[in-house]
Amino acid sequence: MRRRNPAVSIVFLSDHVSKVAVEAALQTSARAFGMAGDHAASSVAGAIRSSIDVYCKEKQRQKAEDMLRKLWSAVEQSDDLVIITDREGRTEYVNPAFEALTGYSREEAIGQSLLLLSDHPVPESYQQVWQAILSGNPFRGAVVNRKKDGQTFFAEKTVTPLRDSDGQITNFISTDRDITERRRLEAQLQQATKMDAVGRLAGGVAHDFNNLLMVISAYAELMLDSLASEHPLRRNVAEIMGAARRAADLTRQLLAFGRQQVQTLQQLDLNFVTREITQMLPRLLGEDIELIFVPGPSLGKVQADPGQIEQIVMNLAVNARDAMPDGGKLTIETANVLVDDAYIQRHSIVPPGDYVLLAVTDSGAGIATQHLSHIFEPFFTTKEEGKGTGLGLATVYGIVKQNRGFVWVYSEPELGTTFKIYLPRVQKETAAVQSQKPIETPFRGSETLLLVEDETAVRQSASEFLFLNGYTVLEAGNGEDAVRVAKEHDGAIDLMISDVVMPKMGGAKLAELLAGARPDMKVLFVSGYAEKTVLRHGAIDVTTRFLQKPFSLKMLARKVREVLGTEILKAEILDKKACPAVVPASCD
Amino acid sequence: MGTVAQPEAIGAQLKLLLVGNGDFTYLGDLLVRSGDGRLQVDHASSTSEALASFPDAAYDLLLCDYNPAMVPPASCCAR
Repeated sequence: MRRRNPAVSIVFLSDHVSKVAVEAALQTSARAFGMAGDHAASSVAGAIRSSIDVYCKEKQRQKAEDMLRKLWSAVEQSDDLVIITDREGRTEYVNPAFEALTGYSREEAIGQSLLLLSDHPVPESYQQVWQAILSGNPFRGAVVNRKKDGQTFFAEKTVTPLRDSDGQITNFISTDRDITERRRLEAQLQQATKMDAVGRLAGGVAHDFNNLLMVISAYAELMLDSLASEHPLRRNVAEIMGAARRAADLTRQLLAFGRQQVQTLQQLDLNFVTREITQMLPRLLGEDIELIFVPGPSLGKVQADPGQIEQIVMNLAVNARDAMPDGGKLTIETANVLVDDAYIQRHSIVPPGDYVLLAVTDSGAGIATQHLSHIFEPFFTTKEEGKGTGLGLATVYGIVKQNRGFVWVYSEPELGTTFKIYLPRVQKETAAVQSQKPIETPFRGSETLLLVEDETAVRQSASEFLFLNGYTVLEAGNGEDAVRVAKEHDGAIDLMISDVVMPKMGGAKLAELLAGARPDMKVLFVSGYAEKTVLRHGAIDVTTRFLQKPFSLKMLARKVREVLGTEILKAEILDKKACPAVVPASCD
Repeated sequence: MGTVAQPEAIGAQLKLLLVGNGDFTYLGDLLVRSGDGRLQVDHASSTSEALASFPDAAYDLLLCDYNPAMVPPASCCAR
């Protein structure tokens, strides 16, 4: 255009046109047109000027309307609750999200105070809102709101004063974001973290405590064996042993809570295991409690320790019994459950997948809401002093977590409580293994044993007991010592009993070193540490060649016989020899 | 696109080209109405259309949308 007419004036029109630019362009155009100073030119310029002015104003008005529409839509379609009040805090506007979440219609809310959603008396958080409003400052903080139906929800609230061009407050705009779900997940995570920390602490304490208990119970056992049957001190020693046993039970529960119990994992049919347990329950529950077992159809298998499942059911049953002093109903159910994303959003942060549900429901007193977040903590109990250790549910929690499951509790005061335990369903099922009752094994023998234990008191008591039961016992205080003892001993060593975690040389390393020189020597590992810790110290078969501390001397001797006895039985079958002087029960 | 309906001409006319679509029709009407016959207003909805439709016209004033369709105003004016 410029090439065709170099004098042409060009005005670019946008929403905001510079009047100076327009004026300059018009004057240039007028000159080019030969009308400068002419009245007609002035009139034409005025016409153009005013047209542009009207046009621009119209454009601005349209744009403002568009923006207003967008803002209106933004507020109307916002997920957050938007409330606009006048300067006295009376509601002038609420958006649809407000109506949807609170249950109050726009008509009900308009004219009401901003405190419509607050509790009565007005809580401190809302008093802070009010103080901020009155002083003209913005407020940002968390509040608890109450819906029309009385339900509460957590909200992140922001209240901002709106000012006119003179700086005077004309309105307040309040936005509330529902953070109930976020709070729930945060609380869940916090609880899980706390439980994990307490679990680790409990597990650590239990481990050290176990060694002390071992010494107490071992020497009490030895003392009892050395006292004549009519000796007056036998009763006292029996009391010591009983107390040590109860203390060992407590530490076992602490280890379970700390997810450090040694497991004998099997693929289990929970229907089978639960049915077996329910046969024992009536005696535990008493006559006034009706027991109902509802096995789920085509139930999937779980990978778990049957003993631990028994612990779970028994602990929940004891709790249920105590919640129903006047009788009631205890229902145990099993079912396959698919936890999908939708379920997770509603319930928890557990990974999706196939689970087997074990639900235990009682019709008892229920659990008070304020206690619900504490029930799985160790030593938390609402029972009378002396009636509960506070470890029952902690044990349940620990076992479930150790099995990568999760536990959920629903309770209604005066109506009852349901514990739902979700255990991961195994995908590839092997041949069904049912829980087996342990076979009673005698504990005498005549073989040679190498006993390696760094705790002197534990070693000496075990050595003495094994010696008294016919064994030849070689002692070593650590791995290096054991290598020396094994080298110096000319005869056969049938079994080495070794602690797993020892200074200088661990049990696994020791077994590896001696395997070359003594290939026929069996190994039995003992440890107060958890299975995972033990496994870190070498490839140890914790299901057959491992004994978890604390153990009684008789338990140790039985385990020794069990490990040695397998070979004896094999040899007997092959050689058709007579049973030895001390024989396993199956030879009787 | 094309010449905005012009009232009867009174004497010499100032030749004006509007380049822009949509609202520019409204601006064209305003200019014609207020120009009292002294404005000849042509309208192209885009810069490319302006160059194609009015190749020989010599305009006194060009009112161009800052964001016209097709070709940026700067390139339109640089040709």
